[in-house]
Parts: sequence; structure tokens; C-alpha cells
Amino acid sequence: MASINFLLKDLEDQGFDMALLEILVPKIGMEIEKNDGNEVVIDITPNRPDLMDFTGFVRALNALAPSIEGKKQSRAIRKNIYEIKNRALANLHIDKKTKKIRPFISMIIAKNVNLKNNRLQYLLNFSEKLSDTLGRKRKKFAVGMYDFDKITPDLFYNAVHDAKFAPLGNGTEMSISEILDKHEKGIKYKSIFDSINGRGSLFTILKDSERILSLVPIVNSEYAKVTENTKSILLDITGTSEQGVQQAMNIFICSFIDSGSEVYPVNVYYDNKTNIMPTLEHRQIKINAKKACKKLGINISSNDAARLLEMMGYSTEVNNGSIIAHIPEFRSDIFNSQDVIEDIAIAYGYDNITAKPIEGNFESSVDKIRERTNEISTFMIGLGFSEVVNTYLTNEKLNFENMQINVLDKKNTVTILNAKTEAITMLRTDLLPGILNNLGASLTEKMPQKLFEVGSVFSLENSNKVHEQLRLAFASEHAKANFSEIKAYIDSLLKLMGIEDITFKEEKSSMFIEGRCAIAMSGNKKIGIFGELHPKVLNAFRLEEPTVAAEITIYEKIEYQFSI
Amino acid sequence: MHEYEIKILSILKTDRHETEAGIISKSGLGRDSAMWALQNLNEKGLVRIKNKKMFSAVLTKEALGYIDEFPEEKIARMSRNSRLSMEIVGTPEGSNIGIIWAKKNKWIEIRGNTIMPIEPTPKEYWQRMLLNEIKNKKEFDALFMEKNKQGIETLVKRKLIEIKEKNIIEDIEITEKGLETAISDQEAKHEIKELTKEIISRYSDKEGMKFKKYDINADTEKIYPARIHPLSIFINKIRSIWIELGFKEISGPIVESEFWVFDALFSPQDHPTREMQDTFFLSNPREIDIEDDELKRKIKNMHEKNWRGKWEVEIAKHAVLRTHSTGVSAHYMHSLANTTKPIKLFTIGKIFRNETIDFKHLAEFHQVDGLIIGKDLDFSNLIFTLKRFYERLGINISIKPAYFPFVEPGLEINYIDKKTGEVIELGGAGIIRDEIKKALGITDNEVLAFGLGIERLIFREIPLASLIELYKNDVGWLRNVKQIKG
Repeated sequence: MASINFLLKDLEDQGFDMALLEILVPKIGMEIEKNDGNEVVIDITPNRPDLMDFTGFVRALNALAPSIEGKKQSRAIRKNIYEIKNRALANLHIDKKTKKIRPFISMIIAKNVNLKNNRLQYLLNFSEKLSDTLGRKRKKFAVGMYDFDKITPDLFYNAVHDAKFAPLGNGTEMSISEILDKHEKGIKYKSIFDSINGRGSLFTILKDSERILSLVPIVNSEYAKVTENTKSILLDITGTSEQGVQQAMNIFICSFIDSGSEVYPVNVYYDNKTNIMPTLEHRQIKINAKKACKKLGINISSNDAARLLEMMGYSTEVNNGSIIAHIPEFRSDIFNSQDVIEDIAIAYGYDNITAKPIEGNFESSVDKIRERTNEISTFMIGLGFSEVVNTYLTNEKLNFENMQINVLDKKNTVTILNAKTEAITMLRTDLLPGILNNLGASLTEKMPQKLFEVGSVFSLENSNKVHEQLRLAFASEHAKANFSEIKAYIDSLLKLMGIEDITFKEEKSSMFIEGRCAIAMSGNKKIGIFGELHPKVLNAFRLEEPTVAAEITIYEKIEYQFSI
Repeated sequence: MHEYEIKILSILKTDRHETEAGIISKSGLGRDSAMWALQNLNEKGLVRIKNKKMFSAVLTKEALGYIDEFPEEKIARMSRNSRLSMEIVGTPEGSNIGIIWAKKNKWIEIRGNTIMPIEPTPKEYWQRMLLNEIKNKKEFDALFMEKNKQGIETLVKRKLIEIKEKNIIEDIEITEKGLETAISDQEAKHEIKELTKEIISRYSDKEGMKFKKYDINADTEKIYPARIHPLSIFINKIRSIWIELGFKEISGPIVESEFWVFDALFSPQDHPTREMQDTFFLSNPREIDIEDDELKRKIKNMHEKNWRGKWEVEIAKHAVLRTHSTGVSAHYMHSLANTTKPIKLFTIGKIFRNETIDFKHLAEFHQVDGLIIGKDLDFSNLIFTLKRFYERLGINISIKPAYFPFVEPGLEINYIDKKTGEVIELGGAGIIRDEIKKALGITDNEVLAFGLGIERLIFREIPLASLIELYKNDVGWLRNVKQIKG
């Protein structure tokens, strides 16, 4: 999600007051994030970057207006496809060395632009946001703009080791390395170069026949700066993704044309070849109207479907039940027919689709681990224990140190690489630490305090396979808690669980008092450990009263089969 | 009147006075019960309770070293034994304070750099005597405090002791009103109080046995039942709704490869949500193998054809904590790709977001993910299913277009909170993209999918300051939290 700001009065001038916006914006899948009566902030989803542009936003709302009863388009919508002029207005020479750094560049000249009435600000905001979101912080692509009337062609896209010019917002000249280290934009974006070729080798610049226009894609020079009075704009998009550069350029071309400008290409000289660029690709997708209706569960004629597509900015031809949809050139999110069908649904209105039940009988079933968890919970409630739900994410202090477990080798622990807080370092390997932590935070409550949890714990086997286990743990804290109490619970619980052939064996464990700890066995299999917790453990968790505890394995290994 | 109160009154009836300990031992009540009953009697004006201040002292670590000899005594002793210069005694801890006090007591004087003894030290130095007396006394009364006021103040000032004060009951006296009550109670003594096995066996109407009437408004001790955690109750409630609607419950792992969480769901490898700041990556294990080569190839093709960039298997292998449970759906779409019988599936489980956790924010949540696979499914069926589910929870939802990389068309589910008027986003849904279906091997079937948040809905069920409260498991909270209707 990216948010973009427009002044309400500018939208009102285009025929959209707040009441209308509140209906149309959600209808098109976006959200009004804020509105203070002066400025409107709109959230735009990443599939529709064209709507971050004022012209594009107004274009979409205008086309969709007739979907509201009694509303008409306030201006005629485009019926034909977008075109660039044939004649190139300048020559662009591309240095072969740029291929290694930032290989793709596209350039246009827009004549008769009108940047008054906040349009300049909208244009700058849009190109900034576009480069930041879809352009992946200018790495994938970035936009540059200059006053074409102040430029002395030809233009050169070069790779240099160093250069000097006065960057925007700075009267004095700086070298490239000075810009990267000291200029606000240099500091912000220098990692783009670091990630491509390491520091200190080659940098991309754009210049005319006299001066440097910009250190691409970091910062422009003061020279040829675009102002409100600019009449012709030279716009370049450079990047590492050809598709990204092209899609972004398409949006700008359509925007300039829709706001009444003419868009001209440039002559590109590269490797002894000449080409007129860019070209605007026209795409069309054939839709079977019946299939489209079937997918949506609605019933409309192919003519109606075509009319809906026009409300989404398409131009259409209907022929024998099929619709040829000409994809608006600014739409980069239309891959194939399913995307066109969604646009039919949006124009139709999700609210107007009649919800229909699915025919047929469906047999349900439950997850056996969840059911076993619930069953064990009823046993524990019967024994007077309350359930807790702790987080899977924990840290070594809580999980190991407090339990007096000395972990020399963490190769069997699932650990987190990039947590933002120290409290998160690993997935829990046991349930008891969480329960004891809960008890430690509840000192003032009346005793006895008896808690249990059933849940997953995680470890690693063969040092790369995650091993998930289902466990039960419980603890009882009060002045008279002792070994025979916990043993009595274990005894009755294991019987309820249907475990047979139970024997107990004395066990040494650093978390329990020696001689007051045992493991429960079923045949030869160890199924759990219990006993009186050692004062060291109690102190670590700040428990003040004697506490007995147990941890039992319910499922030795949870394996996911992805079958039913 | 409560039975405990009657018991206490009858103890006081003969001697009129009693101590706290006397009441406890004669009544056989626990201390808490006895105090509670006494408090009630006091409020009713049936007894008079006289309190008294008692004091106790805790010796500091420093004081424990002074038990046998105070530092000033030591200095004086050393100065008598040999010539003592300031430099020698200046260093050890407590020596300076020793010099100050020894001087103050006029046991020594400083000449130039030398400490000279003047007077012999008393055998029973008053500060040491007082400290020892305090140490041996566990408690002492106001009288002792008054008598040794200056001395105790000195020891406190020297940070050798800390005085603690508490109120204890000195005397309990029955009032005239209490006496009357006790006597009238005795008259009713032939009425049956506690029903016993013995009384039951010999009970007969004819004998005119009468039961004592209890004060049904009397306070009782609190009983806290063992309870299921609200989150579990709520998850089970949601499960039962999906099961009623014909869904099969499925599950999947929380540790996954990026392949299943992102790549299989058409999320481009350079997508911002795949960056470090949103997703938990693992340092152990670093990678999870993708075993199905055929599937790997298909997913690679899907990415390279549609997103044009290079698709790297090394990125896809990274182990992550799943950011949504739609990965489970991806596994099942693959395994049930061409089921001829339509099928409905759902899963509820943990998901993780790499948030900065604090008193308000968590890094783990729950999500319910659903999947309907079959030939004749459409968008209106999906809307119906979602509306029906939320209806069962008493929520009237609205839907609007929305973008998620793996569905087309996509929708977002909202409801308006009646109290705040706030629009609350509950989840997303849509028809799985053709590209994904193709890569996972689905030829004829349509797949409807949804992913819905759980925690948001819990706020409607129980009062919560923040989500953290839900996972704190504070015993007091667990005992008193409102019960969610199942």
C-alpha cells in the first residue's frame, strides 16, 4: 500500500466531491485513509500504480461514474488507443558501459504541459512514489524530469568514474563521491551502486551537450529544473528491469496525453545502431462473455459486459459473444483474461453480485491433533488446572537459562535470524518455561495456582529438519505442593489418556530437586517428566511458593501429509 | 450471622477478652477466615478490636560485620597496640567512619598524621549493645522504641538497621451488644447447624428437629473454576462453524520455505513483503529443500514468464516462519489438484510478522485459511460462503475489491464497528490465479480461497486492552475474564 495526497478542491474541480469519492474510491478497490476537508489521502494497492497519478486517478473515477445511479461521466472517455508522435525531438547517445550498471533507459519529451494548479506537485509526488514502491526504492527503476526548453541536445547516458556538478538544493559543485557521502539523496540511495558494482568504480550520469543533468538515479542538477512555468518536459526512466522501465513509462505517456500534452520519442544511438524509442505496445485480450459471467456467477449480455469494461478504461469490440478488450496502455497488472474479468466485476459492483450457495453435499472432518488437544484439555480442567496459551517465539534466557539447562550446542534449536527485539531468538523447545513465566507474573493472586498448556514445541533433527512435537505441561503452585501431589495427577491423567503399562523411574534433572523427580514410562518409552521444581528454577522465575510440575509428550512427531 | 462469627462470639462470651492467637487456636479457624469473621463482627459493633504498633528491625550487611566490634572500637584498639598513622587506616572500608566515631567518642585524637589513644574504650559500648539487643529481639513495642529513641536513630542514620512498622491486634473485646447476641445464639443452640451423617440417620419429623436459618446474604469465600483459555474457546467456535458448513479441517507446518509461502503463490521474488523487515527468516535451519523437481520447474517458469526477472531457487529455499497460512492451501491445491469430487478445506493456525514487540504489539497471530476446489465454482459462491460464516458469528460484513497477488478477482472483507464507527478489515479472499493453478497441476477445477484474521474478532467477544493481554496468562485475568459464548 502506498498513500497519495490530493487537494479536495482539485478533485472537486474535476467533478468529485467528498460524497462521490466515498462511494467511488472503495468501489475501485482503494481506500480513503484520511480527509481533513482540505486534503484527501488515498491508499493505493501495488497493482494499480497508475492511480497514484492525479490524471490517472481522475480518469478512473470519471470512467466509473455511471456505475452510480443517476451519475454521468463529467467528460467524454477515450474511445481510441494512446499514441506517441512519430517524430523524434532529440538524440540520445547511450554509452555501452552503462549496460553493466543500469542497463535500461527510456526517454520521452512531452510538449504543451500545464504544471499550474498543483499539477507540478502531483507529478513530482507521483514519480517519487512510483520509484519508491514499484521501482523498489529506485533500484528497479527511477524517474527523472528536466525542462526540455533549457536543455541543449544531444543527450548522453554515460558511465563515468567521477564527475562534478551542483546537485539540486546545493549551490556549490560536488564530486560524485562527495554527493554519495554527504548529500541527503546520496546517503539515502547510494546502496543502489554498492549492490551493483561495489563502491568506487562506475556511475551513471545523464548530460546534454553542455552540462550534467543528473547522477542517475540519485539526484538531478540545479540546471534545467522543472518549474510551474515549464512548457516541455524531458522525462527519463532508467533501471535494472526492462519490464519495470517500460511499464512506468507507459503510465507517464498516457498521463501526459490525457492531460492534453503531446508526447514525442527520441532517437537512440547505441552500439552503432539507431532506433526511435519508446514505442507504446498495444495489447488486446479476447474474452468469452459467457465464461466471464460463469466465473463471476452473474448473468449479463456481452454488450453489457463490454460497457462495464469501458467504465474501467478499456475500449472494446463485441463480436458473436466474444469481447475484444483493448488493454489500457497504463495498466501493467493485466496478465490475461482473469484480470479483465475482475474489472468486469468491479464495474458491475461487488455489492450487486447475488451470493449463491454451492450445490452438493460436502462431508466435513476434524484435525485429529486439534481433537486430541481438546480432549486432553478436558482432562486437565477435570483436575482443576486452567489453560494458558503462550507464544511459540521465545528466547534462550527464558527457555533454557531459567530452567537451569546448560545449552552448549544450539544446533538442535530452531533459531531466528532477524528479529527486531532481543526477546525473540528462537522457537520454544518446551512448554514449562512459559507456564512458570505466567505463574511468576501472578504473585498476588490467591493460591493454589494451577495452570496447563497443550501445544507444539520445536527442535531440529539431523540439524536441518524441523521436528514438531505436541506436548502437555502443567504446574501447581502453593504452600503444600509436593511430589506426591504431582505423581497423583500424573497417575490419573495417564490412565485417562489410555496409556497402559506405566512405570516410574527416578530421574536426575537440573530443574527438579534431586530425589524428587521421576520419568513416566510406558513399556520402554519415556513419555514424560515430573517432580518438585528446584528453588533455583523458582527463583529464576520469581515464584515464591513450592511448585510441582510435569511435561508430557502427546505426539512424538507431527508430520504433515497434505492429504485427506 | 456467619457460622465463624458465632464461633468467635461464643469464645469471647466467657472471658470477654482474647488475643488474636487465642481466637485462632480456640476456634480452629484458619488465620484468613478468623480475620475475615473478626472484621465482620467489628463492623457490626459486636466486638471491639484494639490495635497496637509493633516494630521489627532488619540488620544491613554492614551491621552484621559490627556485631563483635564496631570500627571505632577497632581503631581505638589498634591505636593502643601500635603507632597508627592516618595512611594505614585510611584505606580499609569502614575505617574512616571508625575514626570519625572514635574521635566523637573521645577515645582518640589525631596528632599530625598519627592517631593517638586518649581514653580506654568501654567494654560495653552502647551502640554495639543496642545493635545486639535489636538483633536478638524479633519484635519490639513502642515502649522499647521510645526508651532507645536516640540510639535507634543513630543506628538508622549509620545505615546499620532498617525499622519496619506494622499494626497487630493487641486485644479483642466483646461488646454488650455482642454479649446479647452470643446469649440469644446459645438459646438457639438446640437448632441444627451443620447437617451430619449422624443427624440424617436419626432424623424424624416427630422429634421437632429444627434447622438453624443461615444468612443467605453472608459473604462466602471465592471459588475460581479451572477454565479453558478464551483463545481456545474462540478457535473451537470458529472450527465448529466451518465444520457445520461442510469443511474438512487440515493443518500444515509453521516453518516453511519461501517457496511455499511466497513463490508458489505468485509473489515476485523482489516483492517488498519478502524483505527482512516483515518476515522472520531462520538462522537454523537456513534452508529447506524443495524436493519436487517438476514442481520447482513449473513455479520457476511461472515467475520468469510473468515477472520477467530471473527466479532463483536459492531464495525460494530460505526457511521462514510463515507469514500467512495460505501456504498450507498451496500444498493441498497441489496434492488435490484434480479431485473429481468438490471439496472444502480449512485450517486454523499461527502466523508470524516480524514486528517490534512491546506492551501492545505481538509478532504472532492466528489465521483461518480456506479453500474450495471443484468444477462449477464461481465468485458468487465465495461471497455466499464468507457471508454465511460471518453471519454465524453475528457479523454483518461488507466486501470490496482488493488486491492480493494470488487471487483474481480478489476481495476484502470489512465490518463497521458499531461502537466506534471504525471500518475493520477482517480478511481477504478470491479465485486462485490461473498461473498458480497451472503450476500446481490443476487443469479443470476452479479454486476459491480465503484468509481471515482471528485476533481482530476476539476484541468483539471479550474486553481487551491489547492483544498482549491475551497471551499474558495472568492468573487473575484468566480467573475473571468474561466467558466467550461457544
